[in-house]
Amino acid sequence: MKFFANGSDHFQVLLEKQMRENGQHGNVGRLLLKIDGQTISDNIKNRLNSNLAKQIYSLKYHATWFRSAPYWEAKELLNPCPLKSKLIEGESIFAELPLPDFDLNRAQLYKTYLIEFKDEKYFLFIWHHLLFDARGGELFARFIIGEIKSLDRNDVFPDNPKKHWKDLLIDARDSKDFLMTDRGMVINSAADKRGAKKSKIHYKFLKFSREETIRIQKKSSNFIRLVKSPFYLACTAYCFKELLEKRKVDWTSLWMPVPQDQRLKGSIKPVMGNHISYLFFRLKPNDFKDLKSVAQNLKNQMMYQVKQKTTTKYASMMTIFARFPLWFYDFITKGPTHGVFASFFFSDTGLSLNQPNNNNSIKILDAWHFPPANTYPGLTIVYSMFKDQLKLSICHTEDSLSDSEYTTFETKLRNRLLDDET
Amino acid sequence: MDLKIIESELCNFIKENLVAENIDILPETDLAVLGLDSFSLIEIVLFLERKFEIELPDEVLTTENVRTAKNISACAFAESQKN
Repeated sequence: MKFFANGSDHFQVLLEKQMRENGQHGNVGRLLLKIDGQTISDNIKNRLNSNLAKQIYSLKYHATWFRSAPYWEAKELLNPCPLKSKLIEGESIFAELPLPDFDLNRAQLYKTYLIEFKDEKYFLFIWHHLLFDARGGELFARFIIGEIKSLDRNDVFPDNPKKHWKDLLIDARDSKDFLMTDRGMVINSAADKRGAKKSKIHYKFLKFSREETIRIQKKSSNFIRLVKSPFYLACTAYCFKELLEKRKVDWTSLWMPVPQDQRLKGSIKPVMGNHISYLFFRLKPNDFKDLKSVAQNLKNQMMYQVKQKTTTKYASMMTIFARFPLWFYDFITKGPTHGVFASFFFSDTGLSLNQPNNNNSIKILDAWHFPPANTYPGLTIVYSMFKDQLKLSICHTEDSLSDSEYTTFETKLRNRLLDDET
Repeated sequence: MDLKIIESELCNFIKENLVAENIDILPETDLAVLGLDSFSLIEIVLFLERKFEIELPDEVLTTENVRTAKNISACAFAESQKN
């Protein structure tokens, strides 16, 4: 079996390289699901033993400079991914979750664990981001535990790219021009790049009740109609700006690439691969008059980029760069910003896991996203919804935020989201 | 301008640009259930503004008004009558 990878997949190799240079871990995503159901272990093993799961487990990534796009190939069907059992006896399940490594020169780019913690059962799905994006990883994990009843080959494997290379080049030129608008600007981020390798990584989670979530959504609607992501990003950026000011940083610019799922709506396909492009948001000190003005500014930036089709164009640029050596891609993406990818990483998974099926024998009782542990810029915030409750996963390093800074950041973020006065 | 034409044009736009091939879009289809996100809703608003040369002000874009193609079309129709 052989098929082409896309530019967004190849971008993950660049992120992998950057994360290995700066930190302890590669570009690995994790999803923890608290589950309830009958004969869980046997069900999961059966699914892992399915032809589809084994095919994905057997795929190896190949980069082929200039001649053609990179591709996936499975020359032989490997044994199924083992389901490892783990008992966690400490006070917190989050602190003791496995974070294994992956070798991109080999296949076997996902791992599964069944975890027991205080008489409760959890399924941990760990994957290299090259194989699935967050949405794809989530869908495949739900299939493996049996919460999604079936996936067929057409749902899982992506089609080969169709766009003509001339159109790709025009899009790529437009995308480069957009990214270079403020060429040379200094981007302020949380962590000092040097020493990041030794920095310990912390994952924290913020969960809001249904009533609190309704209050947050009402506040968001009072500030900006139609969309919630710019409000979430505005709250986060405001707290981040206050963090910089408390450090007495004479900051000049915040830069936030925000991933956008490019799958057509109403469909889960394709599960495999990365199908994300990015919106890019810039904020400068003068933009921070109040929270409402920041939210409206971000919404205007979003509308401008929808009009200009920047996500489609950036995806085209990634497709072209998939044929080039990584250093060239690295130079183009970080060139305009003096080597900084982002002030912090932000994403909003929307409603993707809000209402799990739960009509099968397996039920998902709770879910936690663990985004890849980016040690630089050292702060990642993921907004998601689960059963109509807003959840935040916050990953930070000791280099990016001290314990007291984190506590202040979290408190302020909670207040910014909830309180009418802020 | 006819409300039915707006509904029909909008359903076609959603079907051809935003949702998977096998999804049917009716004026009453709940767009959130289909997974239409913020980005898609902005595309819808921009499509209506361009196509029918109207401006949909922020205050009309309430959750209920953007729930279905029928509701959004009604807003677009109402705005067109003001011009």
